[in-house]
Amino acid sequence: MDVLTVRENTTTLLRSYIGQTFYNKTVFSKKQDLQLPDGVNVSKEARRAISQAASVFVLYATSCANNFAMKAKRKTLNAGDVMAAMEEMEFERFLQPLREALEAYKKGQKGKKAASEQKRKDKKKSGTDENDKSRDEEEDEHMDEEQDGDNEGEEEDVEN
Amino acid sequence: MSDANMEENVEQATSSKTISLPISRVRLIMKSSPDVSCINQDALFLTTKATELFVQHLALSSFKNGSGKETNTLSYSDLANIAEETETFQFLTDILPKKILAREYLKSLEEMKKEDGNL
Repeated sequence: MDVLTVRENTTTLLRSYIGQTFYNKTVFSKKQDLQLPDGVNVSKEARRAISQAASVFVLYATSCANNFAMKAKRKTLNAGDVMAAMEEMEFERFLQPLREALEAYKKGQKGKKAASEQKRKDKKKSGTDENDKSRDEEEDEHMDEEQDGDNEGEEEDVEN
Repeated sequence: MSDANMEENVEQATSSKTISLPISRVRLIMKSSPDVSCINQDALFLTTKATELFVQHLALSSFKNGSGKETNTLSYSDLANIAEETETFQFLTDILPKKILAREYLKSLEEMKKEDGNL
């Protein structure tokens, strides 16, 4: 499938899922989300347009990545597909930061696992101070969020 | 494991947490594509991060190209302009159409009709 068809698919998809945009009052209301220079005002209209653009971007990237997955006869989207999609969409500039982010993320995951194991040990000893506990709780919430995702695909990618 | 090691791990965990977009919503949007059945955790993370980069890139490049540099504002028309001008943002032209006045649109409609008549 070429890029144009993908684009058409994306637009039709978007029409039916227009409700599922990022738009709400909290998203993109912070300046640091947009990384613009200090003191720049973003009009309400522009803000809404940006969040819609972000939704289109997700759909476009997903459908590009899915094409790569289907070509390889895989059902699960993996990290490589997303990277290939970025290249196809001519966002090569994102590749390097994405690679770095993914590495940091994976390290973080390992760290979390180690930390939760540590926490279990600590619980047995029951010798942690308040500060550490609150940190651990934060991490727990994150792990919960991740666990309700698709676990099927996880194993495929562990080796990378 | 020593305390120092654990602290390091916690730090790494928080540094990877720098995503400001809601992951669950990204998943919702990704899942709304009919062909997509399963999404790997890493792929989900990457898409979220990419979207974040994309939003920053879009905002910054429209601000730089835009008219609001003196007044320090980013307006809709800046976004629409960049979507039309830049190749990589072409896929946004459907969602970011340029605004034109109704009378200009009517004029262009009439011109098109005339051209059709001439043929």
